[in-house]
Amino acid sequence: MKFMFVCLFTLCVGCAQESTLPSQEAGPAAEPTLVQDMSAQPTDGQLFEEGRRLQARADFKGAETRYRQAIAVAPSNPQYTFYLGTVLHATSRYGEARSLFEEAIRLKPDYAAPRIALGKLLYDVDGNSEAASKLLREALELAPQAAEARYTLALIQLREGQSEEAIRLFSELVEADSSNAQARTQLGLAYLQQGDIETAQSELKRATSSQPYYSAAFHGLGQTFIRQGNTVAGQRLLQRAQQLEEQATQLTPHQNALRQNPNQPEAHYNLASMYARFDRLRPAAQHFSKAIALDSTYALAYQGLGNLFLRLGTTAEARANYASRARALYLRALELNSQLAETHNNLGLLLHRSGNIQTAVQHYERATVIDPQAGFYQANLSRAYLDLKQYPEALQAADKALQITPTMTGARETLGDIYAAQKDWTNALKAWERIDPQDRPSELTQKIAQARMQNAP
Amino acid sequence: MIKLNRPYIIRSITLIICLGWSIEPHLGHAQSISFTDVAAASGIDHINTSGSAKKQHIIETQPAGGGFWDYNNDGILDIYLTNGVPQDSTRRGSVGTALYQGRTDAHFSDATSRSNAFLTGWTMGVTFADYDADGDADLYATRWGPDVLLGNNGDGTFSDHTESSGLGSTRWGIGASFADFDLDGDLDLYVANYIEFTLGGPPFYDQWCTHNGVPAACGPVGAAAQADLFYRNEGHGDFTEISAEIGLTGRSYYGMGVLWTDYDNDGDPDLYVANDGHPNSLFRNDLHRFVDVALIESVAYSGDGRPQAGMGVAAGDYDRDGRFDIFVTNFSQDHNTLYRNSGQGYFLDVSGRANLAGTSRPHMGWGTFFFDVDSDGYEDLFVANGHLMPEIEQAGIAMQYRQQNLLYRNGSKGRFIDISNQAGSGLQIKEVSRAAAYGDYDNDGDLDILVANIDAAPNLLRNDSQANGNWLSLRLRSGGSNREGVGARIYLQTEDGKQMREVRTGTSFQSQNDMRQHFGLAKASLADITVQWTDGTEQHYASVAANQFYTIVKEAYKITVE
Repeated sequence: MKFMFVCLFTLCVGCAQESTLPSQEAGPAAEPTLVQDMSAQPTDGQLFEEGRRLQARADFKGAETRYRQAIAVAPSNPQYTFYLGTVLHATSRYGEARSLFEEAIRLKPDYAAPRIALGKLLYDVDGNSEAASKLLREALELAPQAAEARYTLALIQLREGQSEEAIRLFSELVEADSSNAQARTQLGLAYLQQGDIETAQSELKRATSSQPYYSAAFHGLGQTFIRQGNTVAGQRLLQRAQQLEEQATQLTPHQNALRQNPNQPEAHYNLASMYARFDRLRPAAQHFSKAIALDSTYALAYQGLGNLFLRLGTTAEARANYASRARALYLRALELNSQLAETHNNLGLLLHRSGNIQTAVQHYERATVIDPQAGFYQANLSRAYLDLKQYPEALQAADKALQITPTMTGARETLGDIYAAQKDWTNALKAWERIDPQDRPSELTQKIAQARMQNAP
Repeated sequence: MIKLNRPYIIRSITLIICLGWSIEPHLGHAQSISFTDVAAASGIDHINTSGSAKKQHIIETQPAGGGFWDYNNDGILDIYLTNGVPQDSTRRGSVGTALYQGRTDAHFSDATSRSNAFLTGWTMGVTFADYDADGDADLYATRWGPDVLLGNNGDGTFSDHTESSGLGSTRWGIGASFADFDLDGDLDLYVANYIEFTLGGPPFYDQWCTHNGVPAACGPVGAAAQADLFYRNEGHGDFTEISAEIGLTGRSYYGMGVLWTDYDNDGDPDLYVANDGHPNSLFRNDLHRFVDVALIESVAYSGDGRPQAGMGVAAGDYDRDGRFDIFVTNFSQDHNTLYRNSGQGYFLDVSGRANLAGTSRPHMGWGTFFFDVDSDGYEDLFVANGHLMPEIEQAGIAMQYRQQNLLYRNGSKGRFIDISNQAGSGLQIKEVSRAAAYGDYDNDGDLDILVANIDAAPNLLRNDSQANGNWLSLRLRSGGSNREGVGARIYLQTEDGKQMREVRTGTSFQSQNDMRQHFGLAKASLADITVQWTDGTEQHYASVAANQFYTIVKEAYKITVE
């Protein structure tokens, strides 16, 4: 039995109206804050802590206000000045951010954090690698464990061709944290630049093991194989790197959106859908779950999570277990929103598989009513009617599926199956033979051979 | 000049092995390099006008192309400049493209009207070649709107051959270049295309985006890439688009700069395409089919594994090891990338080691080329710069809209030295530069620079450097269908070592260099020259005297002073 499982992974950019959560503008104000709760005048420390809390939620506007209030109370506090700078940096107000970092250093000359921030700003934004390196070195003298400073400095050294210095710094990073795949990748790339292929390969293998979605690691690893003459393995890794790079390109806008709106269920849902599309089920499940945690009425997130469960399980027992959980999630989604065509279809699939074909038909029918232009729903409906031996209905649905999507192989096969079930071998053959031979599964090829025998004069 | 022997066919790799290559590092010297902008004084009064001053649309940020050519075969370089379209009535500038005819007094006359080479609309880049082998250079212009092929009538005028030649793609073309891809003797054409874009329509409508916190034209991210196109020259003045047939079936990227070069020294032209925001492409020519080997050859990404925003592209043998290296200009806050050709099946990102990384990060790079600015025998490097967003200066960062161009002298041990600030007033100019080309427009033996700028006059940077080395300049001529010897390799040997050049069309960014091949000889007064034509024929000329312009005619096996 062939099913056409549909996962549209609809991005929810335009469906905010389904959410009852407040918008981002209203979000931070909707929750009572420490400051609002305080009857007395807040202290600068309280204002600062409130700013930190808001900044952690990506409410940069609110954080800026609190930091400015704290600075008004304690203008010489380097920490407040530094944090205000970080908010301005995050909101692309680089000139002011730079001044604040410089001011924080002036107020507290042994303060490493603003040196790191200023160094990163000078490198990432101004492109000034020399000044950035100087600041980062100073920061490391003040705070030798500062991983961010070490990583940025190492990266600058690598890009500036100082691979020995880069190797030393990246090595220190992976010694301090062996799970730091980013640093290990760059360490491998630095060895690659030096021509030490074996060490590069060893580091890059470890990086790909600990972080299997980091394209740069696969790219570098592929290079090592190619330089060793193993072109086939190298090319395979390079293709993987390219796939991951393309995935990253598509994920980035959603990750950025989530960074800006960490409490918006739609942002989690959209990112989860992208992860699901790339078979990265764990982060997909995390973000669907987070969307539900933020909005327990978010029907699409239940559907998304249900779709993930449908893809899990390596044994029959496990699959049955996951199917049961998927079914519960679909039912919950439909309780919240009965107009989800994809959920009806997928629930229909589950029911169909479990032998409850009559109920499956109801859900397929519902899906086709909600979204009459989805050929997959018609095809699934056709298959269900076929299994019920209701041939006229099955034919009608198959015809509709093929009207909508004439190239749908599954629908055409079902059409042939319907004729075959009625021993109409001529029409069965006609339907099956319209499927491109390259797209024919071996089972269909066998069916065609048998039908030809049946149809022989 | 002595003919050494009869023409014979030999693989280039054999030649390299036989001759051996100098790998001694070049030692820098203290010669004074100086450029002066003489565009206006030379009669070039074209002023680019690209849309509105605000640059709300991505199309307004790019149409400043141009290059050197000799359209009337008088031995003096002419200039062609592209242009955009004014979007509001307050804009003052030229309308349409411009053709300037070079004169013997190193001045230019505006030949736009009389030549019928005038194009209105959004014209991006140009490439020049005698595609129909009738003895004069024709012009292909990439455009937002149908590309145009102007056939040179040989009498100082042009006719529109777009339709009759089967060209005229309506995609947004940026880079274009002719080469004899299939080695059948005539010139084929590759066009790099950018994005699906409509003014006031999809995908960006009239929205503003932001970059670094200030308003910016949206794109290219968010727009669909338009696939590049390859046209086979059918030999009768017409082309057939055969992109899929020759293997251009992969994913489309935002194509920008185009470069034909035989990077693997196997005797056929390969193709490098700089792609904006995506991996760059290197199409190896495998028996006249393209195979993208950019990932394998390690020229798709930066050395630290990132796709960059490729704009312009150049190739040169800067380290004189007998292999062409590739240089790609990129977005600001990122570095321009020098890929050194290891000769072992991969390139190395040596941007940092070559001192080209940190120096380029504050600049947004576009047109670029290797050239021997001081005729010391080592190829130097030029990069045209300019940001996209007029508002960038309000972002509170050390980034300017109008930017200084960069001139690097090839120093010792594979490092370049940024001499922009010491290279005369012409290198202190800050404009929103795009196309850049070199050429000896005044025929004085050193290479000058043409830079096309957005919303401004171009710069014609005359090379006024003192105490340059000896030089010689070679023009190739062939009686076949590839009359300008496009793709031919020229090797030059002096007591100081060996150099090589390749005759190319349409590299850099939306531009084309002087097709004559300039060699710096330093103190040498004589040089031995080997020309390897695309059909495999090799010709040798011994003891060629320095400080002359020469023409080499293939069929006559003859080198003559111009």
